[in-house]
Amino acid sequence: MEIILQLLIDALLLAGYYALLSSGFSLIWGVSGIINLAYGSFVLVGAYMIYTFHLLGMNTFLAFLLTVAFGLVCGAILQRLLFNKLMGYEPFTLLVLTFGFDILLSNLLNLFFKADVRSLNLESLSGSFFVSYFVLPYNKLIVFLLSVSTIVALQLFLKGTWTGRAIRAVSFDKVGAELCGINPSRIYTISTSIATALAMLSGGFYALLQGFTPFASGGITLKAFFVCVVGGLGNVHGLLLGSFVLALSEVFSGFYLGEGWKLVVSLAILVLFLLWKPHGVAGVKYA
Amino acid sequence: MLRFALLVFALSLFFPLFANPYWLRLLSSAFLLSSLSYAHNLLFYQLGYPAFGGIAFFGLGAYTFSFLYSQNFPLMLSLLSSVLVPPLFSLILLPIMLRLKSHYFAVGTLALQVMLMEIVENIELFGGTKGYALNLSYNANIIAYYLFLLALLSLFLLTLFLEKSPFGKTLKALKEDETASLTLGINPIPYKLSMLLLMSMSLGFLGGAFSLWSAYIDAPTVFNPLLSVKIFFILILSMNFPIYGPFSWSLFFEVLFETLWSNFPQAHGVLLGLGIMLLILIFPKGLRWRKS
Repeated sequence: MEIILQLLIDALLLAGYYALLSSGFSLIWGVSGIINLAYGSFVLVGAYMIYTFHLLGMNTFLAFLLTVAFGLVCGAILQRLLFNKLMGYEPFTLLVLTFGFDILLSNLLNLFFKADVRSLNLESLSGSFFVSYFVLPYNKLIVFLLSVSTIVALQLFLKGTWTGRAIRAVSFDKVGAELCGINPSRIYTISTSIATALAMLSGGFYALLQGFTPFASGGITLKAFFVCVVGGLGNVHGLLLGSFVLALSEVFSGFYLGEGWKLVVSLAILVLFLLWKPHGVAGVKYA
Repeated sequence: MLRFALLVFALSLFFPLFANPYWLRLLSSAFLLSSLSYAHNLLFYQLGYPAFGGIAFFGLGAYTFSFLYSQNFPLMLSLLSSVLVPPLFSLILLPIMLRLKSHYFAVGTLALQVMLMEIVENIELFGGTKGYALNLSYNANIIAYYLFLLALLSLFLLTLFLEKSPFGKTLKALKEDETASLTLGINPIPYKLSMLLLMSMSLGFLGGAFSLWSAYIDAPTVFNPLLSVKIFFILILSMNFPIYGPFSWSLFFEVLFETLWSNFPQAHGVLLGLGIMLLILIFPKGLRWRKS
């Protein structure tokens, strides 16, 4: 029984992180309808930036701040220079474009950092917190708390500010939003910009949780896709639910079947959800 | 144009007699890539289903062939099985998958492909992570060359037939507007199923021929998602040029990839990504752009 509870705790901690990891992917997909296959590479760019800043001895908070700022700029450029050019064409053109971008970024990271597995071990986050029999590693706990806080901040932004409401309006009804004086092209730029910053931020946390290589991006994008399909686009409940299902499937299949079967089980659930409920359990637009 | 294409095919028949192994290998891989593209186009161009994970059938064909051949089955029987197993698999799963549209279908089939790759890697009976090393005769690569050529010629003629025949026109009607076609009394199921079977059979055959050609296969090679992207990249560029486009682009890209790989081993991935992005940005509707 203890082991099941421990696995549930692990799944919960992981789910909080997966919710942040997928939030940017969900935002781009929900607002501009783009499935960004280069998303995983942006997460890794964030991970390598935090890793490099750490090696340079920079303050961790400043390093995260710089990474997020870089993500905001990158996202805006990405939308303006690349995505806008292909909006309105067949959706596969954007899939191929983002996949090409993924190949480019992975290989650039490989050129600069080589294919060795890197990881970030902060002295202050080593060790674990114990509650009775249960173990909560500090790094997972801190990442969970920071991820949940970021999700709450994103929700407050989307619901409480004019720009956030404009993002939701464009996602819900583009023509209606245009009639209200909102410029969708500007909103696409803002949402992709925030989404890329979220990707890079979650990349920084990724570095704290596990080792990474330049070619891990496909698996990360797949996780984000899983969360969006299972939970549905457009609301935080869906994001949390999708993340929890993914974390549960990974933790339990990893423990009972072996690490090699984790991906198979997640993909089987993904395919079933695609067939059964392609818009997810709680999927609505950003309304 | 057709005469020229048939002349190229006729000349290709004699190519192994005078070509050196390097050029034979390059042309074989161009034939393979173009056959894969034509096979994917049976569902993508004709019916509008982007089977991003169509390579799953290629992998299944390759594994069926390698498994049977390594158990000492005769070559022809192993090859025949590689043609028959993928359609069986497609009949079980894909009719349900065909309910999905556009990028949901694309990513759904891609997930299926990655899932198969992981399953095969986890089962020792199918070689696990080691894959299969086949014990083949020295002329296996020449047999594979002719098998690729046979597949290419058949798929080329099939595409030509679909472009000109009422059957092909019906497929296009279903792609443009399925509801309107239904009101005209067209039953979509036989059309979709026949295209699905033809695609999976040809991909399975190509998988079997690939195992014969490379003599070693493992899951990341034959279920490689990069291969799917290369194919769809070629298909998007050939969108308005479905008869000659896939072959011309495949030949061009194989030479390009080879040149990049051999001259810039470090940076070829960067150049490949950059090339894909630039071409898709410049030609989002394919190279021979007809305004609709």
